[in-house]
Amino acid sequence: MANTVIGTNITIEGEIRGEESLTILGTVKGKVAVAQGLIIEAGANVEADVEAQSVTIAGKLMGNVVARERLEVRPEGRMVGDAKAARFVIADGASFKGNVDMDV
Amino acid sequence: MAAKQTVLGQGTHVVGEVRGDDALVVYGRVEGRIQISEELTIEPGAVVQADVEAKSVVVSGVLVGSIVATLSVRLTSKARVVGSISAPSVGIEAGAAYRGRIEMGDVDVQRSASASADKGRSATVPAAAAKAPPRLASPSKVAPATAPTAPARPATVAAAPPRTVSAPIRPTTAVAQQPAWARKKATKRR
Repeated sequence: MANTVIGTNITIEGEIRGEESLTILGTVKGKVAVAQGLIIEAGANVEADVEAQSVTIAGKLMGNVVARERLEVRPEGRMVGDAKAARFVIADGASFKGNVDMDV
Repeated sequence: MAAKQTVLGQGTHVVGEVRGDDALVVYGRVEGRIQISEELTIEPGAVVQADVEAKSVVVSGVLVGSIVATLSVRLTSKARVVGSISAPSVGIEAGAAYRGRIEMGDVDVQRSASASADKGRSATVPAAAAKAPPRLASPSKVAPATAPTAPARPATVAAAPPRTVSAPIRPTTAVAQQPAWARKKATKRR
């Protein structure tokens, strides 16, 4: 109920911090740091440095990612930035540009 | 509609600006600014330190900042609000804590009211100046016709000359004020 969802027509500029999971369908610019999972849904546009336990990208992300557990770029996902994660999955069809660091 | 709803959960803290065309429900914390074209709901436990703009606003949590709503603002019994409220319709339930200034009604109505008031003021000055000469002229023409009211007329005649005198003074004071502007502008230009 209290999970955070940022809808398709919402834009947030600034910093988002959270102790729960975060789902982004809209636009976020700035910085995102959540304690649990972060899902960037298809159609979402994120221009931010991102930090979370696990990160799933089905939308568009421009920025650096630190995933403490797992980072996944889905087939429809687009990511430009450096990725730092214990486990890193890039699905067939996904687009990725940046450095990868799996030594967390 | 439920899928399009944006929710900021209990443990979520946003610093910055939130804007858009979706409904927004806040359980967590927001600092900065919220500007949406649908309903904004601030749930119990939420803390919002932001200037807020929405179609309608329902506050059950803590809000510090101004509220501007195009439709309505409602402060429920759990609301704690400090800041100005501007909306056509404002409801405060028993138990709500509020400090600030409330303005109801459309801003356009206020603007048109103040504009018409200014027009009224500016219109009275030329009108008084314009009315003064006929009053001066009329006693001389009408005085011979009606005798009983004659004592009253010298008074109006006596009162009329100061009006005609005061009328020319106003333009001169207005002219006296103009050089102050003109001088400032002139010095800036130089």
